[in-house]
Amino acid sequence: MLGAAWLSHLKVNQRITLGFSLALGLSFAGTGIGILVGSFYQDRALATESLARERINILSSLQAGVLQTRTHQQQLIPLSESPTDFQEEYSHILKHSATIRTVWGNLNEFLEEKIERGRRDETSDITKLVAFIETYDGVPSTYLEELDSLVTSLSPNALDTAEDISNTQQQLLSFTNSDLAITFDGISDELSDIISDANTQLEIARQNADAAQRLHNWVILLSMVLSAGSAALLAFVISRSISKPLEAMEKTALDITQNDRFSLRAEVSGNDEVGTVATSFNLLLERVENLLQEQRKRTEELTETNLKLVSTRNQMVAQEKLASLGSLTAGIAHEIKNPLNFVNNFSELSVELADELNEEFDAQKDHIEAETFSEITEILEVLRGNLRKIDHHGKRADKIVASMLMHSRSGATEWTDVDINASVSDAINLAYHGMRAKQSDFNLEFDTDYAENLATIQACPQDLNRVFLNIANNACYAIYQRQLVESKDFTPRMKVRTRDRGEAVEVHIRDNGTGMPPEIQAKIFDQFFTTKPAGEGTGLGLSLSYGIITEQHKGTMQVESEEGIYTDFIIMLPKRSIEKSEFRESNA
Amino acid sequence: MTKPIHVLVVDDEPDVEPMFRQKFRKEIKAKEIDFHFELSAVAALAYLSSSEARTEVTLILSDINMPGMNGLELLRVIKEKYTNLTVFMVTAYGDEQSRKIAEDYGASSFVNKPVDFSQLKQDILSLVNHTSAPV
Repeated sequence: MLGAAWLSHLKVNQRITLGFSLALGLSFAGTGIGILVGSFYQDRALATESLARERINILSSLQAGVLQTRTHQQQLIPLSESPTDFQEEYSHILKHSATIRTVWGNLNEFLEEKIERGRRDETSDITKLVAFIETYDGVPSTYLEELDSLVTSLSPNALDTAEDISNTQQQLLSFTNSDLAITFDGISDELSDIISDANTQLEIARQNADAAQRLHNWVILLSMVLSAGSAALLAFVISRSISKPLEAMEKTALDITQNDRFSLRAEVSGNDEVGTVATSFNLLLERVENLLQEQRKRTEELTETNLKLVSTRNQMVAQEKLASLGSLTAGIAHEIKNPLNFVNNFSELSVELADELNEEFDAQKDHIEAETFSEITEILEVLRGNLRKIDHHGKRADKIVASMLMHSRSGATEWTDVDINASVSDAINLAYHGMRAKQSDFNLEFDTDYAENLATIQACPQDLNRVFLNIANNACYAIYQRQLVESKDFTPRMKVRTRDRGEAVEVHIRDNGTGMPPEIQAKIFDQFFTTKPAGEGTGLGLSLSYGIITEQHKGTMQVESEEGIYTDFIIMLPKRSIEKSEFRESNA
Repeated sequence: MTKPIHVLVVDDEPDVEPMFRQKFRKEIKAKEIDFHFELSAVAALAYLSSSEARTEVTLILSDINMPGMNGLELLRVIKEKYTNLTVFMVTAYGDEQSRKIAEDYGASSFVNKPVDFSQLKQDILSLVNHTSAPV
């Protein structure tokens, strides 16, 4: 709608002012025009009416004059016998003839005036009248003059005699019946016709005046209806132009708050006050959206920081636990170590003594009763067995204590440049030969792939060697365990690989031994966790290795495995040198 | 037959005496080695100050961790007073620091527990060749 579009460019107050002005203007203009038009037509009708009336009056008095003149003239005939009455009657005629003359003059003036004014709208009427005037011009004057000369010609004594009277009467009668008189009579008949016409015109003029009054009323009524209609229409359009954008804004606001869609914007309908409100609303929304985004970002950052804090705290707690566990372990180990030394030493001695006793007793066999000898020998044998068991388990406990002490060993370790390839190679060979020494049927194939030109890294060689040896030992053990149950087709294999990873060196030690299920993989770095039978493992090897790699060397150590298929240890060692002070110095 | 090596063993554990006596049973029997045991550093110093000991003792075997005066302090005192005595320090804590101090104070050997007795036996007997000649 063009009007609505144009309206939307106006301010709200301008729109309201315009609406009221338009409605009031229409009302005033309509009423004014109604009054003017009505008055104009009414005035014209009234003027026509008064003219018609005037004319009717003139014509009526003319007709009356003519009729009176004729009547009196005819009365003259019988009155000629009495000169007094005759004279009186004639004086009446003279009075009327004066009127006729005056009226005729007036009529001529009226017509001349009308023709001069050029009011030709009543042409027919005027034509008739003009024709009448032309037809009868001079007739009344001629008639009156001839009557006058006739009466004047009558001698005053012409009525003295009967003959005279008869003669006079004869003259008067012939005048009455003369053509002139008959023509004069025609005036009256003709006038009746014209007057009737004039009356008709008068009626028309009156009707015209009524119509003008009605037109006047109609124009006023119409303008009122128009003004009321336009006021209502404008009120509707203006209120709609205000309420529609407001409703849209309300809808948008609801949508935003209910659905959390802060990216939505209200539609800006124009540059009026509502448009300004919408623009302000949108600016507010943008600010809210930005604030929300900022808040979200900050919350994320805080959450992240919090997570980091929690993780750092957990790490610290874990390290503290490890540290305290380490010192506790060391303390316990030391306390146990001394009495354990006695146990081991005395059991060792006792085994020796028992052996000696056995030898001595054997030498005395001949001097002792056979039954007693066999009984004592039997007891002695049990005793020696027990002592060997004490010795065995004491040594086992000593091994555990030694591992525990190594776990919490003091940090007087040497940091040097270490060739990882050489370190790994030494460790796997040592593990292989160690296993061969214990199990003669053990064998495996090496699949080695060492990175060429691998730079040395700053590390503790003894500790790293211990880690690689530990992993290689475990690999040999797992391979042997599988070899025991597998068919002849099984090829035991240890795959070793080193890689330069830029900032770090990566070491893979992979075996195709028994592998591990996930629940065991999760525990292998725990202290005292072992899958080996009692006495074969301490459960400290991998936890110690893990500590050496992750804490001492700030590297990573991971395991990948599939039960019955393989186990792969992946170690990442950073190349950068590590400050020695970073490594926790354990208790001295 | 040479005179046995007289060894003073200082350890707060009383069971050390029967253990040593059993471990060195053969050597004692053969009069190669002769032991004297003290349970504290103070007692050891008191023993050393006696006239009997001064001529007899050639080797002192001392534990480091002892209540009261510890083995390292004892070592220092002994090395100040009796410069010709050989001292072996024994410890369960194989730490570098103690080893270094012991070396600085003049200990001839540093023995880790558990004691390797056959090694110790060799070490003690090797002393005879060095010390017997001048005496």
